[in-house]
Amino acid sequence: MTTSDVARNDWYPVAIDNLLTNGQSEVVVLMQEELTISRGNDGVIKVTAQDGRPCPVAINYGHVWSSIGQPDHALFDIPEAHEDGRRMVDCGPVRVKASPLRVVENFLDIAHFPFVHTDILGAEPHTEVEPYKVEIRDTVDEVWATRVRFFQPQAAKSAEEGQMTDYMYRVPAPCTSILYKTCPPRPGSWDVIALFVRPISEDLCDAYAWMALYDETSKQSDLVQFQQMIFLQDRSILENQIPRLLPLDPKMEVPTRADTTSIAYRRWLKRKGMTYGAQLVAR
Amino acid sequence: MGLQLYDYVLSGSAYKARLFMALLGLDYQSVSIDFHPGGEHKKSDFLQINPAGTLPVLVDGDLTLCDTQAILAYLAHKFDTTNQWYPTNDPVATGRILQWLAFAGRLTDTAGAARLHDMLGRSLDIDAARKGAHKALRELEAHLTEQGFRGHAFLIGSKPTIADIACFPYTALAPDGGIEHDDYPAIRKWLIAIRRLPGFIEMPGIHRLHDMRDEDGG
Amino acid sequence: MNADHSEFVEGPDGWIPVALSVDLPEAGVMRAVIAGAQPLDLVVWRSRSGQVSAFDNRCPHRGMRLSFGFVRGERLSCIYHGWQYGEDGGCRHIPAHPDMTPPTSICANTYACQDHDGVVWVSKGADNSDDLPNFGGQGLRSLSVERGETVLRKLLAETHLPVSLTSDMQMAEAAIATQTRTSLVLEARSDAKNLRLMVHFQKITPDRTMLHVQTSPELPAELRISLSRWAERFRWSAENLGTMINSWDATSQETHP
Ligand SMILES: N[C@@H](CCC(=O)N[C@@H](CS)C(=O)NCC(=O)O)C(=O)O
Ligand code: FES
Ligand SMILES: [Fe+2]
Repeated sequence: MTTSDVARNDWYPVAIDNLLTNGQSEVVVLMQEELTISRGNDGVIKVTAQDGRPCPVAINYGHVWSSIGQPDHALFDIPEAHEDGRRMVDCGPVRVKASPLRVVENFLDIAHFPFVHTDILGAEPHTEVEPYKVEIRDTVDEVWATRVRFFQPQAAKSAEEGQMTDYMYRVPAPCTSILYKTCPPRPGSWDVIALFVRPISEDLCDAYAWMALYDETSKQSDLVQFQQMIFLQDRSILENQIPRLLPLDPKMEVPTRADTTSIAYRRWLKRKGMTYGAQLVAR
Repeated sequence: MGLQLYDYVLSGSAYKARLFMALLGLDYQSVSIDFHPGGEHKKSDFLQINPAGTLPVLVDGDLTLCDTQAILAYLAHKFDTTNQWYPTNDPVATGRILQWLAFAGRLTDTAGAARLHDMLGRSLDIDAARKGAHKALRELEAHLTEQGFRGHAFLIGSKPTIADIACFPYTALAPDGGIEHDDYPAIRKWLIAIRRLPGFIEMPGIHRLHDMRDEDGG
Repeated sequence: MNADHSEFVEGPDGWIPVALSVDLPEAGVMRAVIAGAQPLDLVVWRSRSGQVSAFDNRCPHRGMRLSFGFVRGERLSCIYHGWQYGEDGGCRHIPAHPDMTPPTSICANTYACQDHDGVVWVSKGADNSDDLPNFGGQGLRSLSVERGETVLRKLLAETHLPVSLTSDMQMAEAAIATQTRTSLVLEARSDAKNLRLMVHFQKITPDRTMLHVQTSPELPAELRISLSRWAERFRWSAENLGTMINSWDATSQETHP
């Protein structure tokens, strides 16, 4: 497979299922190609490329997924999405002038919480990142980080006080990142928050946050806005990282132990040949 | 019943009301409206409250106010016992404040519009929006430069008024729409002065001034 | 090819003005762009004790622009993960590993930087041979103009400056008293006093220049306001003379090869 094939033949979010009504259509850009997403009066969704060719469609996790190529695999599974009692929350697309890979990498990072999400997801002097475990699970071809812990002043909309929060991270596809975190109203369970990213070009993307939470009390719009608040705090960081493409050359940027997930993610991308949105040699 | 604000976390206009209430130390109830992705502000339930379909809306008992600048003026009149934020006993200050409140509308229509385009994919003429924003920022820069010569840190004088609150958000958030602050040193100083006000609160896109924590450096 | 042009290929040598000192207060952090085929994106910052420094605007950790950072004491912190750098560019503290001493290899790329005569200057090279002016001026303002430096120097030679404090603002013809590689001094005579205006040029692109303007010291506020308005008008005329200036610029190059 050539490098661009890896990116072309994957699934990407192109619309929010619920917001597309019968008889309506939307145009979005995926990897520089315009796609028309339309829902017929029969409720069936079709995705068409500019040259008229039909594109594959999958509907899952509240989103419509498509591809400009021919994915040889089904869309990844998120088992928690099928669990009873969870609330599914679509947070909508946010445009970011950065590589989709930078956006995913930031989602895997906890060390920035005290400085970027101050008094919400982190606060000085609780800046230490304890050792955690990272692996590339070859059987499923995914990156996993487990036993991640961090002190958080307000871990979720439903959180009432500061707490040590446990995290797990899962990267099932280059442009998707899923995190599991302590669920304040239900100790022992995990809240699930995912970031689905659609590359518009190598350094521009739309990021869709999606959550599957145990929270019976918060208003839906409050949940959406809590997540949007967090993501928009990241956006001004992401738009100001230089270079805009994610460097895969290990000499280019200096990680520490706290960046173990990011190191594994970069290595995994390189190994897969996923270079769309990446920079291979130091410039 | 107390104050109620129909609110959206990413709205720079709603933030003007939130910020001013924080600076005045007022409690209020925030009613979140799903502006994005839901477009709730253009749906019939919300249009009953504000037919213009814009945020924020302030409700105080029988009163409903749908214009941000009007909300600031009302809050200042009713709750600011020091008469600092909107000194209506001073005709010159009043005239000047109203002029800057109108100018704040231009910032919303230019820098605010560019931000909606760049961040939420709103379709509009982005070049015109950015050009208009830079024109407005040059005017603001010139005025703040002159204020500096007069020894005044804020738009009207040496103390902040609702004019500063009205102009602050979309100026501070301009980089979200691809409009940088690099060319505007007087604006940068003014933004910092506002961010240092006691009781100041942030919104996404405006980071905490971490230098205000105790100094543990060198 | 004129002298300007090569500077946009190799980047200028020597000291380059990037800000008025008054616009970079203690604990201030700003971004500065230096022209060149690969323009330099720099962070310029002032420590609590007043020391100025300039680094590549890119945190060695994950590339974040350091101009978004903050100053505590004598260190610049990156806004992303809070890594702290000393004025030599060396990383001093990594909050994620508070007990670790960062290896000396973690270092931001530094540039020579000095606060001289009311202006902050940056130099790309190691050669810091001093050709900086000593005007003893007072900062007026910095403003960006959508014009190249050569054109601006020519227009300044023909300008009139406000010199009096009366409301029917009196304008006097100004003459260029001195020109250097980076700067130009205008002088206008009024009553008994000479009014001086120092203009320092920071090239951003061939068509875009940042002007850092200083005046004779201790002018009254009213006159400084008039001079600030003069600067606005000067910019307006420079930006609105359009094609005329460009052709004028081209011919003058032909006649003076
Ligand atoms: N004129 C309004 C403007 C406020 C405004 O533009 N609010 C934005 C939110 S930031 C809005 O509701 N926009 C509606 C839209 O753009 O559709 C006011 O001052 O209250
Ligand atoms: S990018 Fe600067 S501290 Fe991480
Ligand atoms: Fe974040």
